[in-house]
Amino acid sequence: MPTLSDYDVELVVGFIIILLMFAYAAFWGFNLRTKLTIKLYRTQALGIGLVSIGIGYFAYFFGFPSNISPLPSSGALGNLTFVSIFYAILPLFYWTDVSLLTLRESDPLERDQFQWSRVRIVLWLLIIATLIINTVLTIYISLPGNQNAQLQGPFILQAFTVVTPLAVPLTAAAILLPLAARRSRDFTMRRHLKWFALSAVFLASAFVVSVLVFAFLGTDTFPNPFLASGIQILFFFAAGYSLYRSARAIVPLYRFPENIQIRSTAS
Amino acid sequence: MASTGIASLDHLIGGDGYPDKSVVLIVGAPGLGKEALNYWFTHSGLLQGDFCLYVTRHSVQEVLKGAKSFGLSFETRVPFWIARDGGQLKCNVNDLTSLSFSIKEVLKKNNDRKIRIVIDALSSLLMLNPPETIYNFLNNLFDEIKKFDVVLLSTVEDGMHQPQTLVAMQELFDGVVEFRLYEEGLRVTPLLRIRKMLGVQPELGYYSFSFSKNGMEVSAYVK
Repeated sequence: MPTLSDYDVELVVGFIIILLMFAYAAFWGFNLRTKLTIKLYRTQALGIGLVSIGIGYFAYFFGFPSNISPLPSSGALGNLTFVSIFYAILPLFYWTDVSLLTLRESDPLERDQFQWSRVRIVLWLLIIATLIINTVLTIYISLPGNQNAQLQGPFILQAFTVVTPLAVPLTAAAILLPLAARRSRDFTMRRHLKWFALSAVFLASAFVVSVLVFAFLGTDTFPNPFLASGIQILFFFAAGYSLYRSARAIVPLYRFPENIQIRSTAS
Repeated sequence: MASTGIASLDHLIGGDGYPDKSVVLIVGAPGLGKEALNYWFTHSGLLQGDFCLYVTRHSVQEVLKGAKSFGLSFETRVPFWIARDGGQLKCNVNDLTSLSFSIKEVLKKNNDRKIRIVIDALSSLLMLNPPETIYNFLNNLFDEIKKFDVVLLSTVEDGMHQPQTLVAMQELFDGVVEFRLYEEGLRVTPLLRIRKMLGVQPELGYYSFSFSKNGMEVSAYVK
């Protein structure tokens, strides 16, 4: 058991709070899913719940220092931990996909924006194929005796299989959803997507701070790691909170009526 | 009276369903299943031999699929469709004049029977036109159709429009049935409420509802 410094304790406590926030966002997604009847909307609520878990894991993976993280960072298990990031980002594409389908449903003219009904099939195939290749290759090089194996094939192809499962979901969510939301006249969907966009901004800001902390920690340029980590934790928490608001905004919610009246029982 | 197709809902409304010559609005958030009321209302009308007109911005195939998910089939008895695709007449939500004309013409040709109309395009109409235009359109349409033995049911999405628009729409209708999600702490409860109903004293209060293949179950909500 490593001895934790004050700085480590700050990070551990901060990330426990952050992960609880993301878990709470996921809870609301799953909770609302059970109350909806129509499949498309149930799927969207499920999507935002899964995204909350995925992004929470993503934040932990990149924001929490590996020297005190219980997740393995080297060897065969370290390789598999790295591949898990691809799976953590997969719900983002699932949610983007179903959000674009929902936007089409709420569009009075039912326009198939970006030809999404066709494009989505190609992108899903691409993501799943590259994900399988990545997983199989990682398992292969993690097997005993294969640790020093060099993968054959053009660099561009190797880079493609690594980048695709990350880049496609992130690009689709960052470019297509804002465009579709701007064209939509559905207030509920717009509010849901606005909160999500805010979450993405906080997340990106947290990563910028993470990179700065990683690059300059222990140098004179970054004399106060407590402050830097505090800001990073704050950004991650704000991302989790925005995601929670996004999950709640999937459907209008009303405060429970206090003057509830029951006059008869019908069945 | 025109049965809703759901016995427990008929009871809540006052006994036998929606009042004669009334226009009823179903308000609810997307995904809560308020379309089921359209399907049951139409299904019940067809069984009773009423003339049923279904106006939708969707294709007929999509509506049939939706009805099937609630355990209903329109294969043996079919309504008259004004739909985006697959109907007897085309539903163009951009052309209010043509839509109004089509509805009136269909009613004139079937005025010897009890008529049921479902309009599943109100939210689309409100998104494409200023609320005042839709208000006037509905006002004129309701004046015309009430000359016949008609009951009209329409759905509108809660949360898609400005609250004042929804309030104005509710004023136009004789009856309003509301589907909402209420939160109390971590608990979320879907509840149904009859806000008003022409000429009858509906059972006030909030009611739990759930859907099954046999229809919709409505029961008094016990907190």
